[in-house]
Amino acid sequence: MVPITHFLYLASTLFVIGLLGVMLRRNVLIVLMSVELMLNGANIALVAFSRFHGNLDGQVLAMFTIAVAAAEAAVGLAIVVSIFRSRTGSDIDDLSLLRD
Amino acid sequence: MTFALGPVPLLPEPAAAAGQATTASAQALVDMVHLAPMMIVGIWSLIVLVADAFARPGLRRFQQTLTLLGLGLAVLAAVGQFGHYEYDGGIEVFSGFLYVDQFALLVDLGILGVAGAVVLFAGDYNRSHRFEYGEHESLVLIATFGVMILAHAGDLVALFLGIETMSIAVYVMVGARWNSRQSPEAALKYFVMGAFSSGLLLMGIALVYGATGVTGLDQLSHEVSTVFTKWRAAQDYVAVVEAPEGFPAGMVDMAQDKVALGIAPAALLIPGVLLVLGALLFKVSAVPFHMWTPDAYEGAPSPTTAFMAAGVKIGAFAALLKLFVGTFIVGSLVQAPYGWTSVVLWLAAATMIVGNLAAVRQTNVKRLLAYSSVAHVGYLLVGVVAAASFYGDRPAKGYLPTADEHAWASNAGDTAVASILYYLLAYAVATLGAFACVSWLGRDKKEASAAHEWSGLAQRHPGIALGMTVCLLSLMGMPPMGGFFGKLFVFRSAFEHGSEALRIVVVIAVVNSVIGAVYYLRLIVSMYFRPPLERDLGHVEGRGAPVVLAAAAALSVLIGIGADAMMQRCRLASAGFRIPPSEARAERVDELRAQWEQREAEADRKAAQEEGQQPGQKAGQQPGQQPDEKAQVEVPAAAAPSAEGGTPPAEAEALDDGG
Amino acid sequence: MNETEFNLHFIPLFPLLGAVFNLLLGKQLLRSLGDRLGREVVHLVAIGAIAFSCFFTISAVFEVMVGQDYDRLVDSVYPWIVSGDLHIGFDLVLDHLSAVMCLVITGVGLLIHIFSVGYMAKDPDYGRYFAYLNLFCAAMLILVLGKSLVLTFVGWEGVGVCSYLLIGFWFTDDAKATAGRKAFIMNRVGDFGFILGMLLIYTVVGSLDVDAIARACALGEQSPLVQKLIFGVPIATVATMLLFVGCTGKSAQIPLFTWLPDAMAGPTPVSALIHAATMVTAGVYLIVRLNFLFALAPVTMAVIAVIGAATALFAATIGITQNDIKKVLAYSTVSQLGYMFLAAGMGAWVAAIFHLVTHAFFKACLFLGSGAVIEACHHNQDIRTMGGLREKMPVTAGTFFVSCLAIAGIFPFAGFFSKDEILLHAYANESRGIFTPGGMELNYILYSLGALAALCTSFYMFRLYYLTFEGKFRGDHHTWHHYVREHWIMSLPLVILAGFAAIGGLLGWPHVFGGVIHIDHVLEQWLEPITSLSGTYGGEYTVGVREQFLHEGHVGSGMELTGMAIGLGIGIAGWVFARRLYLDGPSEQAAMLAKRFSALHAASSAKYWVDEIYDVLFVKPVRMIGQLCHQVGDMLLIDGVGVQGTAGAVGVLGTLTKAWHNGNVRRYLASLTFGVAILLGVIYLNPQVSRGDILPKNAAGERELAPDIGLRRTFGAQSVNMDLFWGLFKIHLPGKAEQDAAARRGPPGGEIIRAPALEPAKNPDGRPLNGGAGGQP
Repeated sequence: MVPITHFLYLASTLFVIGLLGVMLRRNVLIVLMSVELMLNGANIALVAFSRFHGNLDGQVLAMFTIAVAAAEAAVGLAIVVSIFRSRTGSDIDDLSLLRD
Repeated sequence: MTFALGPVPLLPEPAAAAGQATTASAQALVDMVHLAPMMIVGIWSLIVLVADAFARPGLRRFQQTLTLLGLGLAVLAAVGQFGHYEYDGGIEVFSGFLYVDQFALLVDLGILGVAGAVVLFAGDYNRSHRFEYGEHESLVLIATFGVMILAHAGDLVALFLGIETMSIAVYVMVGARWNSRQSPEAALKYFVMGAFSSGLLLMGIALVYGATGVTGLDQLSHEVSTVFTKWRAAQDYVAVVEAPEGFPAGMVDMAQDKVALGIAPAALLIPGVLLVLGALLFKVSAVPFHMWTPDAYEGAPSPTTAFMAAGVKIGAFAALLKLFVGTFIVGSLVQAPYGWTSVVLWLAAATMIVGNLAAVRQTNVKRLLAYSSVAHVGYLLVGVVAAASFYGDRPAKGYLPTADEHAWASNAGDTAVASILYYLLAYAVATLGAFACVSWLGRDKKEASAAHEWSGLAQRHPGIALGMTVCLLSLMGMPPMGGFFGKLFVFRSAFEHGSEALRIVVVIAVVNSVIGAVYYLRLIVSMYFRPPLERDLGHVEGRGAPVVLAAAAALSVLIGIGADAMMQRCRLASAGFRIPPSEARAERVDELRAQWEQREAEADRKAAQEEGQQPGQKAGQQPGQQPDEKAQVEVPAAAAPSAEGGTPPAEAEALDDGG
Repeated sequence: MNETEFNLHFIPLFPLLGAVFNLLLGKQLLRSLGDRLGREVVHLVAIGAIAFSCFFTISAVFEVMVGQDYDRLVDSVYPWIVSGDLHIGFDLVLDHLSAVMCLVITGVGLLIHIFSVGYMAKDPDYGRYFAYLNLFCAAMLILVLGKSLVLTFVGWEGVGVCSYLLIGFWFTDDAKATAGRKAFIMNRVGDFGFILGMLLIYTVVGSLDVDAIARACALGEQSPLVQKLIFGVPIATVATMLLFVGCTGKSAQIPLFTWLPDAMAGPTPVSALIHAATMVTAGVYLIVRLNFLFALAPVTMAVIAVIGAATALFAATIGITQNDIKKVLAYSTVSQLGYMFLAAGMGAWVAAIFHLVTHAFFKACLFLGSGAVIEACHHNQDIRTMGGLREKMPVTAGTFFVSCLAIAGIFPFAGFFSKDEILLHAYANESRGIFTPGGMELNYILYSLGALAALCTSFYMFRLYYLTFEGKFRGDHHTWHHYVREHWIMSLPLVILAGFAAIGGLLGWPHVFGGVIHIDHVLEQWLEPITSLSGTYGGEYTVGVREQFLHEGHVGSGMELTGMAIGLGIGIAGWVFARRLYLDGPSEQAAMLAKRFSALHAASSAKYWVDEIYDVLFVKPVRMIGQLCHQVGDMLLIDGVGVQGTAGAVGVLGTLTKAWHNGNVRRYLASLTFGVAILLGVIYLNPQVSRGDILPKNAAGERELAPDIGLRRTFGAQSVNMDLFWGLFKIHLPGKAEQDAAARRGPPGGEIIRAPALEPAKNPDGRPLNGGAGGQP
């Protein structure tokens, strides 16, 4: 049987990769993907804990998260599309119209 | 209540509900009736969305009316429910997924008001700035629905879903203004950061779930203390692990397991709680999580900004209160060295300082209000810390608080939560008014949000300027507006807690509210004391914004003048806040109600007494004629309040000395 | 102290209604009824409102006077805030002190309203002006009548706002708007002290009701206000100091006095009402209202006395060289307020209030007179270009002269008595001698400062009078021939006020003169119920209830008479000196004197560069801090330390991004992550946690046996932050444990989402007992 520790290693690795991706990548689409990675890392942790504790709460939340992530991705892409209308390129660093 | 939809007549008798073997679907129906305001909003968001498919541009007003109708129904339902004895102890619906209690119902009322106001003036704004779109009302309703889920949440899952429902709808609303370059940019910034914080939130929830194995808030509040008990219990095996010589190998192994299992839940719980805290601090925009706030507020269409500043903030604070004041309140999790209060306290100080100092140098009104809302979050966080400290104080070793002290502390905590609610509502009202004014000025894709464009507003639109001034004064904390009493209540609660750090931060907060006066005043000055621009920038057609502004100004004053009545409602909402829905909580509310009844009876008695003496007194006002009668009219009223008022500080000291 | 109910709320209500009326309809009326009739309606409403209020005050005061069994009136309008143990009622009280104040406010207010009809006759914003004036009166009356400090504070803020609105009344002039802002901000600085002081009192007394505070103070040295210390100082001292900070703001004392001269930008009747007669005396009122509390704080009292005396002299020396007619009067006001604080600091409450009243009369008269002059000279305020105006405006000149006599302390005008009483207290009250700088008793120093200030006062007032009204006119021809004629509506208030300034001294007829006319010190007897509050407990804290003090042999009648003679001499000396130098305009000698003492003269006429110093010390640094916060906070800290630091913390991956782009979103994200890092870091990097010494020690210095959380002991020498992280990975599934757990919880899956063992109160099918969880059993 795979011990829970291994699941947690995987989950935290995914989460950290996602976190760094959001923080460090410039392409908007990759940032969106990294967000998905973060959510999925958390999902794996949830499912693993769910198995560990022997109840289904975590899995239920994971299901919900998948749906939420889909909605979030849809909205995110829509926003990206509306940005492309007025700009060329997908560099997140170019967005500096709003500043102090 | 006379309206047909009222939940009260539809409710089955509690005894009957318990006695009969109701089917699951019937139970679900009853739950939905309990959740009437939320259900109405949810269903209405779909109705409005469908109605949009049939609406031609000319019919958009009909959609607005339809939305307001739905919100009105929800308000009626919530008004019927709020304050009803049925909900005193809180009710778990959908298997404890959501709660219906007074707190949630008050927040419902607040957010429904915010949504109604936003719907009232958003349509005009969108039309005037040429980006009218049919989904707007529906999106507002969905976001409102999300906030209501947050207020009702009885489970971490519900909490997560509430935050996401609210946020996703708001992302769309922020980016909806397609004819501006700023709006999509603001949306993307807000979205990326929001999604990032959702990730943190979910990871935090996962860790908390890992540590405790439950997600229901009522079970969590019990389980988090078990975690620390386990931790303590593992101490017995520590000696074996530290000095394994002389123990059999099997025993050492077992000890290691025991220690690991004892420490693991705490090791998961503490970072988990902190991640959740971080995500919620992002949602309320506390420093240093605040950086999205000015950009998103500036770029978003003004009505959306109003919704973010008032509605989203209400939702985020409801979540923060539910989790960090209502659930995670075991002493070890609140206090140093593992607790979050000390960090958040100083973050609160930083929040108000940064918010205020940054607001001072803003030239854009929306940005200024954004930073000012950051500053207000700082003040509110002081209250949150105070409330959590009251609830979660861990008594010193060898000292168990007496029943009186315990009761005093939970009472003080309840009052602190009530103060936060009061502040939040007063702030929401004033900020709504301010943004309604912002959205009213300017037309045809050009918003008049630069501060210099506000010069001489009072000459051009005296009514609008007056309303805006009242709202700004309320935000500034000028008596007798609501904002003043919000500050007074929150700071007083924080001050009453004996902790030195809290008191220092209260002093910082008072200094900050003085700084805050500067920039609000600058706006007022430019409205009143500067000549108007030569070119009239025009304003949005339609009466929505002026109506909202007038209502907000009037409410700001009313909340201040009727601070007592308002606070009483907040107090009802917060009674027994830390206790999960139960009989015990209902008892707390009963106590409170009994107190009020007693007070009212006393007032009645006094009034009756005065009534009886009225003739004598009238005669007594003729100078010097009947001195004997006047001698009876001696009022010992002054003694009563101060005698009562004198005791709690003494008790507080007793608690301090002990703790 | 017995009391009876009385509808006191009518007193502030009338002006409030007047204000609302004029604010809403003023402009409309002028437009729809025509200029003349519109103005009539506007000012009749405003004057009617304040007149009603005045009438009501007088009837209330009569009620107090004739009442045998009570000496104050109360009115519980409504319970404002009742939350938990905090009770704040909207309760008004009219006792002997607030009666005096109310009479001054409504009486002088009424006269100034009448004067304004003439002064503002041409102003287009007529309605707004009277609305503000009425609003001010309402706020001031609430301040005075408030039963709890909270209500007083509401009035306190209210008068601040009105003052700000009225100073900036002609806001189109940028300098005037700025002056308004300056006044407001300086007052806010003071208010901050007021709020803190209130909070501090609240923490000890548990109430902000003045009666409750009085009861707490009645214990004298045993009072918790004295017994409890904060930073080693009795709370009473700290709280009174903070309240006094509020007073320095509102009453323009050192160091917050610079706003008052600038406040002269407002219309002159406003200066007379707000910045001379009423609002600026709110600080004095507050101290006398809380005299029992201040009496418990001898150090604060000494500070008040010193600040008061210093302000009196400081402002008086500035007044000597000013050339703007209103500026002279403004500095004179600051100086006279200093006298009042000197008196209050000496515990001479009666003297303080006495001077407050007489000052209200003569200073209001002076300001109104200056207003008439300014009006006549077409808004010229420079006295160097005036002169000889007595010929043109005899009534104004006469009343002005009478008021000058009063303020200079010439017998038998009002100022003589009140100022003499203050100086006498300063000289003779030895209980103030707790500090002896340079081996000199403090009271002698204070007396000398006061006497010197009196000399300056007399000098600059008569200089003002002679330069304005005597000699030859020095302005241009046009002004002289086209001056604005005196109008009865402006002269009438002047004459009435001058009359009061002349005979006001009767209120405080000294005891030594008792034999001559049989009116003893009326005001002293009247205020006895208030002042006796601080005298009930004796001991070293007693600070001069006048009666005790004068009758217990501290002061012989000889000393009192000598003091009066000296005071009179000083007044006359200043007068004669000014007359010699300025009778025919600025003389050669005056210029010579100015040249000889050129350094002093320059300093005085530049107002000792106080504004400039404040600018360098406070205004610029605050601006710089704002800039700095932006640069250091946003750019350096969040960008530099936060972003780079986090990048370093998350490891070598940070170096993978070759250059650190200034992308905004990512900067924000880094800040967010930095925030989470703070949350985690404060706990994990807490030295207490990582050293593991969280085991509390008992009194004997031994570690207590039952540790709260002994992390360090769990993992030996490793630091605990690592423990917590590694703990996360130490979990493994010991097969048996899991099976045990599973056995306990029952099989997962099915409908049951939550383990039933954790939820005892569920139906068999897993749903909670909904209805039953509610309020009913």
